[in-house]
Amino acid sequence: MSRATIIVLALIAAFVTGTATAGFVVTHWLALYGQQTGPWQRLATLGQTDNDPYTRAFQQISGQLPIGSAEGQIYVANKDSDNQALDAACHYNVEGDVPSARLFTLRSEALNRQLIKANAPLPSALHSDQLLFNGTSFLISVAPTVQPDNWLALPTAGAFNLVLTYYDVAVINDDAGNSTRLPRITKIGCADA
Amino acid sequence: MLKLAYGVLLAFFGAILVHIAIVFLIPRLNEPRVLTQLQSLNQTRDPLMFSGAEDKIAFPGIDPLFRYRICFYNLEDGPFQLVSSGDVAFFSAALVSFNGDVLFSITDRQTINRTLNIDVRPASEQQRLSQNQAGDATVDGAVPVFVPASEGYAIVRAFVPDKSWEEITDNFLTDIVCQSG
Repeated sequence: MSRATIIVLALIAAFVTGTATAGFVVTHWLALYGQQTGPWQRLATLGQTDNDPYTRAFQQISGQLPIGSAEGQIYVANKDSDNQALDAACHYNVEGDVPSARLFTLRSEALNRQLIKANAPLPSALHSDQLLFNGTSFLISVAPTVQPDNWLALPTAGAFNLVLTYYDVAVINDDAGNSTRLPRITKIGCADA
Repeated sequence: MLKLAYGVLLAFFGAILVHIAIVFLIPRLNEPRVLTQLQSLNQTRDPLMFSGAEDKIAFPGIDPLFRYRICFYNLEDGPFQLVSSGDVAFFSAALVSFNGDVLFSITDRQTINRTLNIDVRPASEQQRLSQNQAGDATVDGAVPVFVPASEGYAIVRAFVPDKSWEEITDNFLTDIVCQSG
C-alpha cells in the first residue's frame, strides 16, 4: 500500500471517527456529564453564559426552552435507584422528602424528551400542590394501571424518562440536589414478571 | 509496518482534531434548535403564547403544567419593557440570548408585589444610568436589567395547577406588556 493511500485512508478514518464521536458525545452530554444524584441527572451549567463547549453544543441542538437557575432545576432519570432502565410496563414508587422548592412537577417522557401523554383524564403530569403528603414525605406511584393516592399514569410500553422539575428553589447554593435528598425510584413489579 | 503505524497515528490525532472542531463549530454553524422551533410557530417575531401540553409544541422536556409567553426583543430599537398585571399560582421569567444563554431570570416571589416590571437595556448603558439615578434602583418604577446581548427573547412561564386556572393564566399571559422603545 502506498504512502499516499495510507494518508488518504487515515484522513477518511479521522473524519468519520471524529464526526461520529463528536455527534455521540454532544447528543448524550446529559448522560455523560450530567450531575448525578441517585438516579437523577441534571446539567447545572445549561443556559449559563460561561458553560463549556460541549454543553454549549448540546444547548444548541437540544431544542429545550432555556430555564434560569433562579426559576427552576430540571432532573431527568432513565433508570431506577437500582440502576435498571425504566420500563413503562412496570410499577415504580417515587419516594422522597418535601424539597426546599416552592413547587415541583413530575412527568414521564419518551427517550427523545417528548412528553408522553396519558389518555385523558388520566394524570400524565403531577405537581406538588395536588399530592397527598405523609408528614414531610411523599410517595408517587408511577404505573400503567390505576393506583391509589398519588398516581402518574404510564400509557405506553417501553423505555421512558421521569422528569422532576423544582421551581423557585430556595437554597443559598442554588442546588436542591445537594441540600435535599432527591426522591428514590423503586421498582415494585412488572406486568410481564 | 512503519507506514501502518504512521497511518494509525494520523487517524487518531486527526480524529481528535475533527472531534474538537465539530464541537466548537456546532454553535457557530447552526441556528439554535429552540429558535428554529419558535420561528416555526411564529415567523414574524411577534409575541406568542402556548401551552406545554399542546400537541403541536415539540420543545423537548417542556413542562405540560405550564403556559408560556415568548416576546422577542432588539435593544437597538430602545429599552425593552416586560410588565405583568394580575395574579397566577406561580410565574417566572427569563431573558435569553439567541444562542440560548439565560441572561437574567426571576420568579414571582422575587418581584415587588408579585408583579413583573423590568426594563431591559444594553450593558453599555449601565454606568450612564447609575450615574444619573444614583440611589434609585428603578427606572420609572421598573427594575433595570442590563444584558450583554442586544437581541434575544423573554420567556414567561405561568403555572396551571388545574383546569380552573387555565383562563386566569391565559389572561395573565395575554395581558403581559412586552414592548421596545
